[in-house]
Amino acid sequence: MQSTRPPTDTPPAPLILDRLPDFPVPKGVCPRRMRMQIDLILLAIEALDVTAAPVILKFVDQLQLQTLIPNRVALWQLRSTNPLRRFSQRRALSLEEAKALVMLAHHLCKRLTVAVRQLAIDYDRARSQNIPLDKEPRLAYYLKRFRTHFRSRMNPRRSLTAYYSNDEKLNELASRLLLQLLFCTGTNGAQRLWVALLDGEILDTEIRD
Amino acid sequence: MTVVRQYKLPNCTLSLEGLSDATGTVDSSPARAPLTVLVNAECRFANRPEPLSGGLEFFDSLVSAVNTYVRQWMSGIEQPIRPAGGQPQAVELMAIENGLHRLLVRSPETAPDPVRVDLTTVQLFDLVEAIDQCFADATTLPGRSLALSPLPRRHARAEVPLARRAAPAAVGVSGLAAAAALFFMLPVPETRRPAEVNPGVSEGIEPQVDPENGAAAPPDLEVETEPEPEVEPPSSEELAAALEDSQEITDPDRLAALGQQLSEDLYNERDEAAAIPSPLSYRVTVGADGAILGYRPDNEAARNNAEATPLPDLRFVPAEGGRATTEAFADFKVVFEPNGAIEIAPWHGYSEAPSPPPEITDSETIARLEADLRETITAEWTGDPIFDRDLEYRLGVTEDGTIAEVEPLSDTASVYYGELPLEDLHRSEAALSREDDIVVRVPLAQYRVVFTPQGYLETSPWRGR
Repeated sequence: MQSTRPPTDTPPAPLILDRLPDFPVPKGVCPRRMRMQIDLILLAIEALDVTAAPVILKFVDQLQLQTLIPNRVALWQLRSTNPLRRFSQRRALSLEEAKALVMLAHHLCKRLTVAVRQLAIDYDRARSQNIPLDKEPRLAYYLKRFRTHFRSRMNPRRSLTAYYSNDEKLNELASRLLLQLLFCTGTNGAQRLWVALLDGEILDTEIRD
Repeated sequence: MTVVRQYKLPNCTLSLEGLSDATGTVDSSPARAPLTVLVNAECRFANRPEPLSGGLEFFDSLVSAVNTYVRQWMSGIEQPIRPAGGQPQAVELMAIENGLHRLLVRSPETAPDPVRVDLTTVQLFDLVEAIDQCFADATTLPGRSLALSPLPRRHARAEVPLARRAAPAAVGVSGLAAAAALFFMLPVPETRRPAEVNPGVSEGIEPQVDPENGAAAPPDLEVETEPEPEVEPPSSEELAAALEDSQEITDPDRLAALGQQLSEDLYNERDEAAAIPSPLSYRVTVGADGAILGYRPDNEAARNNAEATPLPDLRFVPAEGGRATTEAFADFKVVFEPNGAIEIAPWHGYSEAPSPPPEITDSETIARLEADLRETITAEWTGDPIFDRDLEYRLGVTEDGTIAEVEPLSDTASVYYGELPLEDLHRSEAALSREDDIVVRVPLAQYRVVFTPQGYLETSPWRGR
């Protein structure tokens, strides 16, 4: 679609972001937990899909998010607002930027629907039969990749990261993220992820004190 | 006219039967006629022969229970199950052991025992997807929307202890852990949950190490009910009195080591997201072993914003309370800059320049460590550089091959630092060690290391071969 908007200092937000509703957040920027979780969701996607990195940029174009994410470095900087990152960026993550990351996560997940679903089935089976997760070959492969990604990108000197130096704890995190990805694949996946990310973080609009 | 709509997923089929108020619609063929009045909703799970069904109340309750539960489950934040004394909802969902989800459906026919369906996560997802497809369908119950919305802060905060007891869900585990740290000190309110709800799961997480502050939560709840006596950190006056008899460290080398230790601690523990409005300056007193004994604000902004710094968390308070006793101490001027930098210098300056950091000079050791260094970095570097020019660093390596110091030699090198394995391998704490509770610097071998955009690694000893 050709746009004939006159150039302005702050380009309007990409239209696709309207699908995610606005909620009042303190100071209008993403809280710590949210910055952490968005990045971890994307990390789990990368652990699932070796080609995720180039595909993300393809989706940036398709969804017309270039005003928010002009290039690979910009994407990396947004994700590095995750306080656990080794090279954590001391910058705020705006709600528009967070929406862009959520839309990207949703589209990446949709593309992986079959794989995510299969892994979730493996996980459910392992849990119900008390089989160690590592004994499910597909799951074990994902968990291993996630652990490697997590440990190479997160700052081991943060106490929360240190908590995950235990393989079992990190597998638990990876499994939960995997199940979240399953819900991201759905028709309303982006909205459900968005609302979960903001859960417990929005201001009460009715009562002000 | 009667209209039937079906949303079919592998594990769950949602069928809606209703009437169409076709007046005014242009296209009134049965396939396109909007279902405007819901008469019966039926939800059939693949592994369960008899369907769950009901009228509008059942459908509304099902949708609302699913939306609330899925949001909580994804975020790990719980809200009150239901107001005390309130009517139980027609449909409820709750987490049970083994990662399953329990759906409870009450109806006049089933009273008093609700119908119970235990779902795996994939089955739950299919139910969610059927609902989402139904709402996305403009010809079914037009004018209705899902109205998903997050829980306000007020409710979430009040319910964190409850959430901590339930299975930590999804990524929420990290958020919960952080919140648990906050709430650990507060008395845990009495919360009653149905007895059958995850008896095993809560046991599993209760005695976990509280990852935000590293303190182990006492596994024994008895300890928690007995409020700990408030441990007061020493006031600056008390501290000054205690320090009067102590000896101030003036040796430049020891000051340099302590400054380095202080920097290490402050950078590791700061909250990157904390807003620092203007430079915050403090006078910080540390003991010979590097522990922060106390601090005093040195400007007005510092007085009001101490919470934005890691100082309150790092101040050493002996386990038995009271104040730290020390024989030797040093004062530092510490300035937290709005850009995130932390400036650290001895309060009284150095009496003379500290000697340069101890260095490994033995050429054989230098050669051996260089070979190890190349091997270590190459093993970790997966290539595929995203930078377009050479990145140059100075590395300090301990005798056992640990990379203790990394100094980017250009702005570009510092920007891309996080994309290199250096960050993974960097153990800044290895540059310091404690001998008899005194912080000392460890001898390092120095190298120049270059990462090229073509994926090559070049290393050379800093002082040449």
